[in-house]
Amino acid sequence: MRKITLISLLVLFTFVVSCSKYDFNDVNINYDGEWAVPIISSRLDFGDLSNTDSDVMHYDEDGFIRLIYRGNNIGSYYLGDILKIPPQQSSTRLDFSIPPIPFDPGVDIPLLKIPITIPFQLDENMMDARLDKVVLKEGILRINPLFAEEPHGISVKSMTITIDNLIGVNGSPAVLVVVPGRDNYIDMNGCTLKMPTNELNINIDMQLNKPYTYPYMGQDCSLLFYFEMNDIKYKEIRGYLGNIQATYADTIYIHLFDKSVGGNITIPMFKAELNIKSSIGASLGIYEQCFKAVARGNKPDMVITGLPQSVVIKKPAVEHGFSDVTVTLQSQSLSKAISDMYEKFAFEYMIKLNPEHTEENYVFDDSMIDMEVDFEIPLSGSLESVVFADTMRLDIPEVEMLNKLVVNTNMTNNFPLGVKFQIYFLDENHKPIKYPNGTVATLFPLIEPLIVPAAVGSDGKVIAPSNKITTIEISSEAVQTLKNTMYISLVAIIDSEGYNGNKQIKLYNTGYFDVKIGMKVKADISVNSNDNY
Amino acid sequence: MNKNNILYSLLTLTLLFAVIRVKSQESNIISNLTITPQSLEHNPALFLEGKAGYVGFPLLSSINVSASIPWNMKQMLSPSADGSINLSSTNIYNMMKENNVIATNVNIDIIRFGFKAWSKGYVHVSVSERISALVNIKKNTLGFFLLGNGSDEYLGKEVNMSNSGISQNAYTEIALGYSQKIGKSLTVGGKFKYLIGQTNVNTNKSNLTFYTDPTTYAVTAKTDILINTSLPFANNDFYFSDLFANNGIAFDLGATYSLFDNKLKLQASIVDLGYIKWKANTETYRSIDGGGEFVFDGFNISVEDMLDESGANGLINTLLDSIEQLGVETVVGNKYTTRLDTKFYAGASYTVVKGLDVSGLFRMEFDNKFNNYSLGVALTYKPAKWFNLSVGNTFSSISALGLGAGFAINGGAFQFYLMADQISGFTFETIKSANVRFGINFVIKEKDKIAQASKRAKKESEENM
Repeated sequence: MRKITLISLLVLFTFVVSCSKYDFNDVNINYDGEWAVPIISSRLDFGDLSNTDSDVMHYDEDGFIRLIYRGNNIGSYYLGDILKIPPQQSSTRLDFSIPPIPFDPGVDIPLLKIPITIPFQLDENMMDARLDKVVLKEGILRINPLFAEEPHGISVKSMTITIDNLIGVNGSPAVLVVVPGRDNYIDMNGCTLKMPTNELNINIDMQLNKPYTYPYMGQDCSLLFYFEMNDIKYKEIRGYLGNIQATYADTIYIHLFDKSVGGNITIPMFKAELNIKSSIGASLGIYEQCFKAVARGNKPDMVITGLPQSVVIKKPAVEHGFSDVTVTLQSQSLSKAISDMYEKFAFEYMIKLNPEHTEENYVFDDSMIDMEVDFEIPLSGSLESVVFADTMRLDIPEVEMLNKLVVNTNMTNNFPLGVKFQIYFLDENHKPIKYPNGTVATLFPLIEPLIVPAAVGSDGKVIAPSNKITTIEISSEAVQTLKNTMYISLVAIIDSEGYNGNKQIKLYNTGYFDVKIGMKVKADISVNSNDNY
Repeated sequence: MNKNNILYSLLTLTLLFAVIRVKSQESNIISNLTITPQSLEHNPALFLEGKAGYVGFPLLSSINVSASIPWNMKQMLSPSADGSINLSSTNIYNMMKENNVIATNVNIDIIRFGFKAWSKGYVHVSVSERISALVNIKKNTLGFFLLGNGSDEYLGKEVNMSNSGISQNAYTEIALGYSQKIGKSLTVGGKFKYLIGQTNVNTNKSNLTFYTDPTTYAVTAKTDILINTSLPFANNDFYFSDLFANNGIAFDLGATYSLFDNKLKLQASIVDLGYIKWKANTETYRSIDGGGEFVFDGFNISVEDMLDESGANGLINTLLDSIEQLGVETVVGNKYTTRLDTKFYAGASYTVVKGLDVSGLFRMEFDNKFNNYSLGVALTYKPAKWFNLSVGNTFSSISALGLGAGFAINGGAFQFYLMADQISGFTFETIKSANVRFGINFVIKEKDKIAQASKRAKKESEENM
């Protein structure tokens, strides 16, 4: 019996003590969990989709949407920007004689009165202007005399300069008492210039000192006057302003079409109006120089024709009032430009005063001309393969640990619009990335109808939203190929679908997209204890 | 075949049987080493037979360490042909059970002594430190992170991750017990315990469900948690007196009954019927208003944000703000009470032949979250009053097979004992649990009055002669 015991013990020891057969220096750890996360859950209405400001969107009583670009200011000018009195600068030489003076210390040299006229220079286009009255609010008139030849033994005791047609605030002609050696000027703020002949009339009263020696034999003298008028700003001008002209350019943007690159949109009820208001006391002519639709890329610009080439606006009936005129802008080429979704319209025009005849004009410092264009785009029409595209930067992180990537989209659509969608992956040089087999890397194999049009009733209103769930699987090989992505190009093609398959639709404020996007990734992480980190 | 051969055969078979890879959860071996004072722990009515008293070696009379994990290395690892080891998330998920418990216990007797009193009674005194920690991981809780919410297992299904949690307890038990013989066959006993709690983590409630929509992957999480803690070192304001501020009491009750001239012994007891009130350094983490719900179905962003990667900045903060909807608050200073894990024992032992007992002990443990039960069967060899050798197997609700063995030996007053689970199959690859206990006691032998009287009579007889 004891032998059996000993044998059993031997067997026991054989089996009991067994060394570990695992090599813990070589451990592979694998993780292949699969994780799903929701990314986006958003409800987007028309304003969100079109990037349109809320003050542009207007709704009829039944919710029908109109885009009204009101008060799209294309030009607003104060006449002070157009009509300017240029600075004046000149010098005049005045020759005069001092008569002989006998030996009589009691006899003074008579007061010399010397009139001079200085021409007032205006701009070329004001050559036939007549400045009957110019009330100034700013300006400096500087007059400094210098004797060209010093009369022998004679010096100036006093000099007073009177500008006859520069009326001071006291109602009298402006007077400048000249002090030799000083900067002699008149502040013209509040003064009134009266220059129907575009000349300044100046009178100089000069009293000379008695001669040093007697008898004085008399002499011919010359006096130089340096004349400057600067910083001239007026408050009011009356007279005749001539045919002042100015040319201006401006641009209007329709952001709705910002990202469009192709396709056709038809909006038959589109309207545009040009509203002009003026408080300038003169008739104005506005002449179109250029009106064109400007596109991005290779799309050619389109000259808009068929619109009025000129508009004349009359002088306001009352001073400080406005006159206005409205011009309807309607032409086939303008409708075509809207239809072709040009997002930018460029204008160039010329404004001319007194285009038709001569009349009394007046302008104040706040006189202005204001031009606005109103666009009304009722969202009724059709969309045919309208392509919107955009490129954005997107760095896809280098992930080596993904086995599979699945993107799920759940789109609920309450618009009568269908959207096909595609994403292209671009490298740092904006070139499409290709898979090893040479095909261009895209999110979907073919352009995917991601959003299906909602059902539309006979009245054109949506009666039931549509729902579409799309699953996109991206293999681990594809993920590795896409790691060089720096940009993605999103392309969306939109088509309208109305009642009975008709393309004509209307958009109402009840429209929305519910966008839900989720992502599922399957990890493939393998770590070995011998790996160097 | 003589009895020695029978014994040797049984021992050999037991040892041979031991080569089978076994899993042992709860050891009942100590209750069969009846010469040790520690064998009395499961029933306060038990006597230390033949001993007038005992004194445990301070701090060394009982050191018991046990630990268990739900899986072994062989289950977790998949060796390759080249000897490398593969640890994969899928393998780990497949091997998990519904409840995966990681548990550890440390019990140390600081002082233990007892003595016979009033001829038929026995007084027992002990001061012990009991430390336990348990983590229960529901399959779905860990599985969710292993497989992911997008896996076929969890996508589109409500995942219940409730009842995972942590439980930890450390307390000092000061016990005073008394057992009394009534008549020839019956003994009854009881023990009063004063408890001083040091640390506690109690997961009272941990309800968590998670749902991922199969189409949009929107996630919905619901939580309702209540976790109480008393951790004196968790905050900066620690006072030594805090270690004695958490108090409780517990009771043990038991009885034994002998039949057939003490060949058959029946016993029943209830142990650790009590509680601890936690007052010091408490923090409670609980869901506000009965629980919160977090729903996330994606970021609500405009088209412009969709096309602008920088639009994502700040959206993460929006997500984190949403998570706050789960609404968990921290309450400091909240008092709470925990119940001890009460145990119920019922057993029987039968003396087959002198020196060989067959025994069975049923144990039911009422845990806060689980009710565990086990049945231990053992063969105990008692060739002399100074030696016990016991081998057995424990069948439990967690594992069907759990072999154990232990021995106790006296050398005069000195006593040493050692017992352990998983005697065989104790390899790194197959081990899942271990329960080791050993200690040193001093036992005071009771005077043998009959032998003494006989000796006296013999001496008198010799003197008379």
